[in-house]
Amino acid sequence: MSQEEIYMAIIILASSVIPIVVIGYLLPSFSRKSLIFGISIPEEVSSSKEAKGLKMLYYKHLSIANIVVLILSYSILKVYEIEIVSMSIFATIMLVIALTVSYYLVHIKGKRLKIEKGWSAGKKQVMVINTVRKEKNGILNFSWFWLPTLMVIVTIISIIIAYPTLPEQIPGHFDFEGNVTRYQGKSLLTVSILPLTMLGMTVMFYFISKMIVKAKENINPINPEISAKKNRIAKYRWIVCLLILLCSTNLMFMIIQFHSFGWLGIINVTPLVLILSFAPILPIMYVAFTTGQSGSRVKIKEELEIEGVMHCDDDNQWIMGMIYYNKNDPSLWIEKRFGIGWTVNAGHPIGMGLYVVTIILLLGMLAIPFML
Amino acid sequence: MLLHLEFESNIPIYKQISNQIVVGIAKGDLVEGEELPSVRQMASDIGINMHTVNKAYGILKQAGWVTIHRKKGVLVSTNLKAQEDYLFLGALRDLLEVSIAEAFLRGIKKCEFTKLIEEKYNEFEGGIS
Repeated sequence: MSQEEIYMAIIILASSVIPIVVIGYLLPSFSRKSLIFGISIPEEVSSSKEAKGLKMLYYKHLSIANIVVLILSYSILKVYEIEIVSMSIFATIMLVIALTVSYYLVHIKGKRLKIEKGWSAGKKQVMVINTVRKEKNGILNFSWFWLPTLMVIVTIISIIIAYPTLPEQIPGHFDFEGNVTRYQGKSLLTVSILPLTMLGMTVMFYFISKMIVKAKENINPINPEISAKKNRIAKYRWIVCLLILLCSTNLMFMIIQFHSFGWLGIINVTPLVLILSFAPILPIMYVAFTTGQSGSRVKIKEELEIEGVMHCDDDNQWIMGMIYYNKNDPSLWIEKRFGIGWTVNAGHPIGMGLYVVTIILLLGMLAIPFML
Repeated sequence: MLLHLEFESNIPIYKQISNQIVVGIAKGDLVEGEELPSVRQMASDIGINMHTVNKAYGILKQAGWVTIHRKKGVLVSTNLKAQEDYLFLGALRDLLEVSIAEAFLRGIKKCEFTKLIEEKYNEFEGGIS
């Protein structure tokens, strides 16, 4: 392997394979206490012996599945001499599948246990909603999005200024020491790829943040006031995270753009670019740990708890505990049942469309290593 | 204000929504002119059909507790303390008749019933000014 390939392998391991393995083991801890492996339960069950048993079972399944995938990927890599990049895409997808299968096996077991043990028997099922407008209550001021937008504008202006003076051949690719490895012809298309990517990302992140503001909240009927607060705190923190991610990405692209114009002299920008692309992981991890799904890990002094109630049991609307399918629900985005983040409502026409597109893309990516 | 909805209850969801909003206004948890979630927003918060929320808001609008603007959305009405309504008084008499009859048959004493009413009135008078 060349030096370049070794660098590449390290970056891929650090950015996809290792995070997925680590996240797999952390996922059960991010869920609300009223959910275990995608099954709604009364909160007190979450600390029961059975619940702990389910967790152990999940870790066991996941460890076996991960080892199988990694050995398999490594042998395919050695035997067929496939390019390391496409191989790592294959490995990443296989790891996600391993995680999903491990989860699903435990989900089925949990569902059986719930019926056997009568976990939700005698509990009044309550759904709590907040009538206070989401846009007006503890949500980050959206004018912060002008900051990343400004970076896009500066980059576009810089291109307009630099374009006439650029040579016919401009740098298109750099190696890890910051040397130019490939030149490309100057055209409006080659110079606008970066700003267009920045613009696309900014627009996308803006809409994701809007989605987070509007998304359904999961208020715990045991202590609704506190839980409603936690939900809003969680939304606020995630939007801040997205903003940090967006700003550092835009800044990175801006630096790359300036570097390709030769404005930054001959300094090596690679370390800076690497730092900017990995730095947002820290705040995201921090928020994941301190916030959890629906703000379940946010620490607020708990007030008295109402007994005999549980969060509304909507297991029937979740296919395999993973896919939300509710034709009546007009919402497109909904909090995931397992792990962290949001997913789409497959009962919504757009949601169904997104599922179909994702499956097609996944199958396509899985096939790549074998077609090259 | 938080709404507590029970899907297994005998009271239909639209009725639970409208009832709780009326009580919320009386208690002062919802203030005059306060914005309520749009029909779409509330339906997606609960995960139910928009017709159900429409029905709840329809009842509230007809009774005069909320006003629905095309631009501003659903707002708690601003002139809540309207004149005494004789039509309503008749409806109230019918409503109470059934409740009192049931209370009487279950052996609830007159003073207990009036105490309940007084308690609630005090609660509401403390809320709305």
